[in-house]
Amino acid sequence: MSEFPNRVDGLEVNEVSDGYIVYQPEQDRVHYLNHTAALVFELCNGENAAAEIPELLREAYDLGSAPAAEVKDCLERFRNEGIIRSAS
Amino acid sequence: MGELVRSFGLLGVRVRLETDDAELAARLDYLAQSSRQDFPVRRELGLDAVRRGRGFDLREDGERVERVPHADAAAERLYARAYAAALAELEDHFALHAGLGSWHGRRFLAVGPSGAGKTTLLVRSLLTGGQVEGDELVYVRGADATALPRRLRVKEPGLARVSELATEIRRMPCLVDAEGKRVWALDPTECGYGWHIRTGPVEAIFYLERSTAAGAEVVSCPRVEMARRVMSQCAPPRSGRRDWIGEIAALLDGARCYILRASTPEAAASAAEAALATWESAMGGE
Repeated sequence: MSEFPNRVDGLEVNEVSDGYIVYQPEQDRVHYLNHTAALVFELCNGENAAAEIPELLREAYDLGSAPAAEVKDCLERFRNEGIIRSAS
Repeated sequence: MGELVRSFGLLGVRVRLETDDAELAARLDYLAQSSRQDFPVRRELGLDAVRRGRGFDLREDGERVERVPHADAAAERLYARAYAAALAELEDHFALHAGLGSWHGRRFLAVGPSGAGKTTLLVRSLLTGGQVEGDELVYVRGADATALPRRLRVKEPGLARVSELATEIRRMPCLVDAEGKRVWALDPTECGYGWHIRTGPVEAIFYLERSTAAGAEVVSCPRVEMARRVMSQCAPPRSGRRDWIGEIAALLDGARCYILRASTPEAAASAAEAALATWESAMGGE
């Protein structure tokens, strides 16, 4: 079964030139996303399967190989912090 | 009533202090300052303190508001009332624990915890053509920053680090802090320098970190990383406004961001000046 991660509602996303500052009002927490994490976050739109995101990053950054492990860690962090949810 | 002590501006408030007591008057010199401020006066605030036995009656705009037991308490309460009136206009601003100045025409923030060297960096900037606005708190709304008008606090251990100005600083109002150390309240105009407090954007942000390595280094800092550091030195708006974090993003995006690591505050000041001077020449004097 594929997982389709999606950003939770109610987040305040503030863009700076090299990433995002994401404020989570319900928890009163601030998250700091560098450029790569910000792109992963953007790709969590409920339409991209989690398994597809590494390849999307590979294309975006013109990498030699898809960063599967890094994306997996990033998604896990986002889930643990409650800024994405998963839909199957 | 008593003798007029001082009249000075605090952002949009014109403060007039009076007392009939010489001991309190000397303490109030710590509070009064001569900065030029570009704010229309919205309120006139009259504060006076009248000796009553061992204590003082405090009045605000002619109405008795408090009785305090001694001159130290009177000075502290008058200070609190004056600044409360000034800051009432800034309830939508978030506060940043930082100094604010200009060097080589570039307005900069020096951010860091207490003891990081903000005051020393700013005072040393005066020696090489820099300008100081404040050394403790900066209030931000949108992407515009305003320093709290307050004499710079030069603590006894730090006086040696600004030895070129030590003679003038020792003539300035002085208190003894809780640790028994003297703290002088420096008004740059009393050393012959200008002091102009204004509202506007900043062009550079230095986050000060102490280093055990000799000398100093200035390293460009990604804005997301600077956001993490700056947030650690922020207090949210007292109005409870929730959308202020976007203004941190705006402040950072409008400025070059640097980590300034130094073994001494003097080295930090030299490195900051060099970074701003080099930037100016690299931009062709823009």
